[in-house]
Amino acid sequence: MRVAFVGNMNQHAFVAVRHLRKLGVDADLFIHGTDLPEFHPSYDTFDRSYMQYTQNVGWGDPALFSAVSAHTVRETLAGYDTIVTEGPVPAFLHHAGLRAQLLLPYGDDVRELPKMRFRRPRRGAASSLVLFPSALRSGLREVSQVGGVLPADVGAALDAWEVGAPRRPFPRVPIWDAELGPDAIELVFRRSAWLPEIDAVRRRADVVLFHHSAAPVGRPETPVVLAPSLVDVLAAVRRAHADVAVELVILETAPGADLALERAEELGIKEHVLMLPPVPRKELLIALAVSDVVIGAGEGSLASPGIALDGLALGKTVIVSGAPEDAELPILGVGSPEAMTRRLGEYIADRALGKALAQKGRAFYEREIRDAGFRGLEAALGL
Amino acid sequence: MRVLFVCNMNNHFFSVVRHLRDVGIEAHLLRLKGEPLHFHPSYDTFDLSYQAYTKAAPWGEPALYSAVAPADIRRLLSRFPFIVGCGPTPAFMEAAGMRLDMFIPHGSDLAEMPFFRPSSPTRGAVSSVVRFPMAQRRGIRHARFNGGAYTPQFEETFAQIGAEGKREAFPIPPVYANDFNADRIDAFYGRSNWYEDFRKIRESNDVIVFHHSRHIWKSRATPISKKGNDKLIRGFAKAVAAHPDVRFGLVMLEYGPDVEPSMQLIRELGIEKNVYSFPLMARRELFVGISLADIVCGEFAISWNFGGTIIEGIAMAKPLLHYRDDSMYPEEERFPVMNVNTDEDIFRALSDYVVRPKHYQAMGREAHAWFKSYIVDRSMREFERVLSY
Repeated sequence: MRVAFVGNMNQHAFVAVRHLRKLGVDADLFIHGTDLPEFHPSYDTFDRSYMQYTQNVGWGDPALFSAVSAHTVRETLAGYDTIVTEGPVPAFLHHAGLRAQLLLPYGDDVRELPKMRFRRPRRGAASSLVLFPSALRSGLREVSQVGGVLPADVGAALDAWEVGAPRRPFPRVPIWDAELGPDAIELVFRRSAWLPEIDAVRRRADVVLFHHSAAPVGRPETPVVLAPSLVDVLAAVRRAHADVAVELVILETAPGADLALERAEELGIKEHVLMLPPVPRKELLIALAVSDVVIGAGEGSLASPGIALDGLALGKTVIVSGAPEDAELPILGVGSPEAMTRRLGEYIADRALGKALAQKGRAFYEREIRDAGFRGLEAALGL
Repeated sequence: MRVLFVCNMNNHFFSVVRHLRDVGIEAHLLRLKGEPLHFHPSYDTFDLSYQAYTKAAPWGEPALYSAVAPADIRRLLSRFPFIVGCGPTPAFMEAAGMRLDMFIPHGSDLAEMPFFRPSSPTRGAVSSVVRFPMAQRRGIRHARFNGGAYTPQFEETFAQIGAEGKREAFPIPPVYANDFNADRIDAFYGRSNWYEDFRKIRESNDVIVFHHSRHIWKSRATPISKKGNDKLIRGFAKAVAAHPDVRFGLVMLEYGPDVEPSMQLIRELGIEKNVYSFPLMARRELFVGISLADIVCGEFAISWNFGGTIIEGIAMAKPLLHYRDDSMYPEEERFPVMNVNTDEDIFRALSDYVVRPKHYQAMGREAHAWFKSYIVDRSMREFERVLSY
């Protein structure tokens, strides 16, 4: 069986390909024209062996759809008996007379991409504006199965485009445990550019808080700005627990990071806030692995886990602002900065409780995300 | 003196800011909105000290020019008595009613941005399509000084725009020489994502050729974009075949539209085992790889005297395998190179390296000395002079 994964949104396909290859399946990864640089495999591994089974293809950009020949697409995918895909790719498959055996939508690819929208026409491919959405809708209708995370809005979009393929929901696995999981990640610490800074925080702090939310790429909604209020929380926790060294690590890419630094300066705690530059995911996970508590915003649900999954996967205590106390995920849901301060106080007072929660989170991740995700993928592929 | 550099295209101003701070000038950096991530300072350093003197502006995209409030521009710029800019900075300062002190063009900011070109309007800022190029033109015209190396095309455009400022033609250092040099780079080996791989390649090869240009030789491209990568691959293959006792390694990046044709050519020539591919990486990582190589490649399609790969090679004191038509450049602007124009030239140069490595190592050191005195030291002197006006 030869499997081609075309598209690598959120690095999910790269994880899936590594898993299948470990099982002995001949799986390859194709990066296409609209995959963002941060979804290149090299952002998710320190090992260059991905090059043996990864190719960049020159097609995939909706704006250039009509300039791509069917032959080019067929030539790329010749010899594969199973195509797994996402994003704009079903349109190109339809154009080439191919069909995907499995569609793993990430959301906007079925909600927004098939809609006709006015975009700037490209020279030599102006008709793409009309031809692409139509081809994508046709391509979606031709897929054999739809899998992955299928929240209600994705299901509704599939219904709207009359996608009749059977749906097999299963989680997408975000992390390749063998390299970046909690038992392996220390082996790549020596390859990190920023470990010395993170390690310095680790050595002087009893509790390291980590916040790595980022503004959604290419999405119109206003991101949740959590970073400045985290600085207030940090100040409050440090005041309430003067004998405990608590520090905060955030990324420059976090919404409101600049305001957070200003706030830290105002409060006189700037030296307790480490601001990391924009980093590839592999570096981000190293910083997270060195931390104790991961803090993000979201619903705390399986359908929309946000950054909580990274924390659970790395076996950390996870606090999610905006999530209910009885959230679906094993996280601590808080509704206000005061509640977050309180939760952190409880964590400091009873580290065993935090440790137990982290272990529970990791076990949940292994069972409900990693194992269930791989099992679902294997079943969808008939393995 | 406080001086602000606005826009970090190619990470060049970040390099200048660091050099100036080293000579005691309080230089700051302002990144503009919309700058590509790989021009973030962190892609060009292994330390976070840049955060103390770097800010990000919430404006800077030409397409949104008309939606930016002048007060928001002034808020970030008004505290600096001297402002150096590139990219769209002239237009935004014009909008704020401020005069740019020094414009140092990187290319398209002078050649394209000041001229109207049909482009799709952005909602809420439709008039930017017309107003931005006009403001860019006015901003460049009113700048007090126009910097950057002498380039015939630039001089013509400055004249066309009617630039009133004094022309101060001196090159700026695109590489931060005080970190990225042959003596200091090993301090960063322990912080590199790819050092382990480069080290293994070093240990298993006698002669390493480092080629970090984009692959553009087969697909349709403008002549100035072509790199002539195929010449290198063919010449390298001949050297491998002619010297079976020498372990040759060629390091390349997965970068550019013709990576796959290059790989195909490598397979056809049977040199896969001699070629090591790497992903596109931060420039700081490239210096680690270059430091462990013997020869660094420039370009092989058309003649250039300056450019990213060229300066990165000589900054690390490596002999540069490169095509340069010396008749095109004044003598004082030239530094020694392994001057090659065909695959046969490349084969001969690599073969000669095998025989005379010390000669070429000395060439690399000589080129570095030129870089240090002609680019780095000279530009610092010139900046200090201009800032004192």
